[in-house]
Amino acid sequence: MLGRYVIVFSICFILNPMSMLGLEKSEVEISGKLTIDDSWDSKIYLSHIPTFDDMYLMSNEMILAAATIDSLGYFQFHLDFLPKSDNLYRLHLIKKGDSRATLIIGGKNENHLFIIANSESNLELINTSKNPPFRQVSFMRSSSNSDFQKVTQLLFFADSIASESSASKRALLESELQKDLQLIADTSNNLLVSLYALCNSDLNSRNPSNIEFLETYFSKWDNTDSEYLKAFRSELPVKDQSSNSYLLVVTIVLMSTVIGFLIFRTRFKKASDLEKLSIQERKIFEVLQRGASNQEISDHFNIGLSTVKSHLSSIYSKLNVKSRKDIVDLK
Amino acid sequence: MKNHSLVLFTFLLMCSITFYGQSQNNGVSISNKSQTSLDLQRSIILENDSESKEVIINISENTIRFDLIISTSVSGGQLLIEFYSPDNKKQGNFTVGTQLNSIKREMAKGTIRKSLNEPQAGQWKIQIIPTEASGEIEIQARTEN
Repeated sequence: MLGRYVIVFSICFILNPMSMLGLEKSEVEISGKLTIDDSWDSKIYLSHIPTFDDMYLMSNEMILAAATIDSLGYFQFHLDFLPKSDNLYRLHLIKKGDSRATLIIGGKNENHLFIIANSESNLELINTSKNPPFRQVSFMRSSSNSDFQKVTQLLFFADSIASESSASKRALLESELQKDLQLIADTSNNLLVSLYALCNSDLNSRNPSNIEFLETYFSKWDNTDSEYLKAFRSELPVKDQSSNSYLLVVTIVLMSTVIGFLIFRTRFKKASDLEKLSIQERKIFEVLQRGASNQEISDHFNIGLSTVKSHLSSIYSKLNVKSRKDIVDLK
Repeated sequence: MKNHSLVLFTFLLMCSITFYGQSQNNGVSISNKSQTSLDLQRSIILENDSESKEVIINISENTIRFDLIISTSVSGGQLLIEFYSPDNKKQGNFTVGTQLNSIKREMAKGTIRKSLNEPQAGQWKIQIIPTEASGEIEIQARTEN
């Protein structure tokens, strides 16, 4: 009898060489025990969340698998297609009679829980609150999911701040919440936990004043190839070089226009002012511009010094200048 | 017989006066309590719709509670719902949808529920952004003053 068992066992072993070599495809197990009331359906669904922006996206196409919750609340997913790297998934329940693609956010019927899993995961979870079923969940053997859950708890707390506190108390608690989220974003060793905290903090990429922090943050995770990081990074507002160049061109054109206008106006003013001078005054003006003294002007035009002074006074007045130097500068 | 009628009439008159007095007192006490009102109940039907819509809910300074439920069900296309406070901060969002070219008509549902004490006064905004969406949106807003 024993010999027969040995033969059967050997045949199985030979027929399954993959397992003998330890090369079998790794199977992910996500299991748990849920305490839920009768209003919930006995199915639990698992969906893939490709980016943090899709956390609250619901469609039938997102659902990867479904498992049955037995009468004691136990469920198990056995999956052999999850990627090697950490990805974000969502577990959700539905109310009896509802479409399987139903997402309820907030309130006593909130129906979903986010988890991190990869091809090596072996997760086990248990809920300690009935309504909503995933408000308090504990994870066995997964520190990254426990940390992720801590961020979720902080966000639940943020919601309770909004619904239960006065405006001033809310502001204080909100500030503390931001500090906690930023600390997790800065110190967590798991990228998805860190990004989850970052996405929900004031340091998220939508605020341009945080670019410096975010650039340091991205350099920290530079060696990590993650679609979540790429998606988040793509939203970072970068300094637009082309708009800077455009601004420079516009400034140069404007400045040139202003300078050109000023030169034109000076020349035009000079020409129009010169027209005010008499023929004799224009001749004296030309000599003045060459730096001639009163005596030289007197000798050159064969006129008296007092006449020269009289012409100069008239020229100064018509050209609106105060000295010889101003006349020399009028070039 | 006449006496009996008189007694009955007097009794009924006394009862009426007492009841009237009580109802008057109740009226006073109600006016001292907070009042809940259904400020908005709106149903929007989408038929292959891609036109964005905005629903505004005005919250006054003396509002002490604000409850909002937005329920959607979509049988085709995609529907994004965003909810903003008066300072234009996003307070919640979700998207429900089906594959745009899917022949199989499956329903996708999304619900968001918010309850806020002492909400910010001003215009709370619900952005409805459908993409070839067919389905229904139900919005219910209640305030307590």
